[in-house]
Amino acid sequence: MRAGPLSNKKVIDLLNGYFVPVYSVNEDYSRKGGAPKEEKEERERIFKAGYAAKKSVGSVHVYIVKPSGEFFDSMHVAEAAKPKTLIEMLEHAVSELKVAPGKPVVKLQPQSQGPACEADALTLHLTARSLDGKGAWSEFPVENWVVLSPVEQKEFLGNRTAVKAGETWTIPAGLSEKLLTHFYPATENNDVTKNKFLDQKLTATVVNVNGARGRARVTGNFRMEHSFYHKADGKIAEGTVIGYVDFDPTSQQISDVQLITDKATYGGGTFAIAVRAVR
Amino acid sequence: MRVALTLALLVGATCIGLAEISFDAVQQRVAELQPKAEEKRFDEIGWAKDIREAKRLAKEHNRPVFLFTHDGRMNIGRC
Repeated sequence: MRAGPLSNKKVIDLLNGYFVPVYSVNEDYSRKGGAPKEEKEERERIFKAGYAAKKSVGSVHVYIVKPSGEFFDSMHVAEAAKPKTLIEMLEHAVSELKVAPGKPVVKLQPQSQGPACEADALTLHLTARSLDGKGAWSEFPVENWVVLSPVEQKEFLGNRTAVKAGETWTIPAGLSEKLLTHFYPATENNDVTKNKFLDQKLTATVVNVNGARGRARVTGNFRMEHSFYHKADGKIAEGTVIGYVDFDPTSQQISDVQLITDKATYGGGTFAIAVRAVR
Repeated sequence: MRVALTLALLVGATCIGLAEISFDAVQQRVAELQPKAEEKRFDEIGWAKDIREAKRLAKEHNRPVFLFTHDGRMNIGRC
């Protein structure tokens, strides 16, 4: 949907000009999901109203709800993913409900934003991009956000109170796995708890120290089982990693991170990862 | 076309001798790999933060709600 109709100018104009668009993540609305009870109940109410109206209902659908809150229409995502079909659905609703055109009622803002975190935490933004365009999930890059607490930054820096150029250390496995577990291209499965590392290591080597600023080169590799779909398929993401970390040797806090992969592969295709610090 | 060219450059960039790659070169490649505006047109839509807010705004502005339910995290593309 995101790479198809939700990137289509006509669809975007219709949604902004005539609707109040909202999306909901199924995981959040499941029994154990984090969405508030009232949210879950409201979504369930829409589902039930669609069912009662003998319309298509399910977890991967688009729904149109009247301004009064009554159910109006629905469509399975397999159909809604066709821009022409979705445009027809939206235009039908605009016509039937006699909606007046206007500006978006919600301010536009980037939907991918770093999570709220404690002061002095380090937020890392990760981009995964297919390099060869193989697969239906490769139309656009995907992202992740990883937060390193002040304690984790010290661990990343080897818990050293004094560092000199040439010093080297291995980043603790738990910490490197926390980052590397997102080193895979766009796939249907995004449950990283199912990932299985066969090999992984990140090593830091101090390149220079100049008063309150140090720079370490980071190199490493990863080899990780990550299934494309939720059923185990033995597919492996692997590659090498290189980059730099800037830090304050005294406070042992990281000020910048720039990491990339080289020759990363997954399921017969190639991809690249970029990680940067966001302050 | 522009995306294809960028990707071709990125593929070519994998031939860089990584043992010698500088901070500036890594930083440049990180920048090249970032999502482009045309890959984030989804952000050009004014999304309500949740269903209840959408419902409230729909009533206030006399507009229908467009609700998309999905697996994964569409905001980061992991879906």
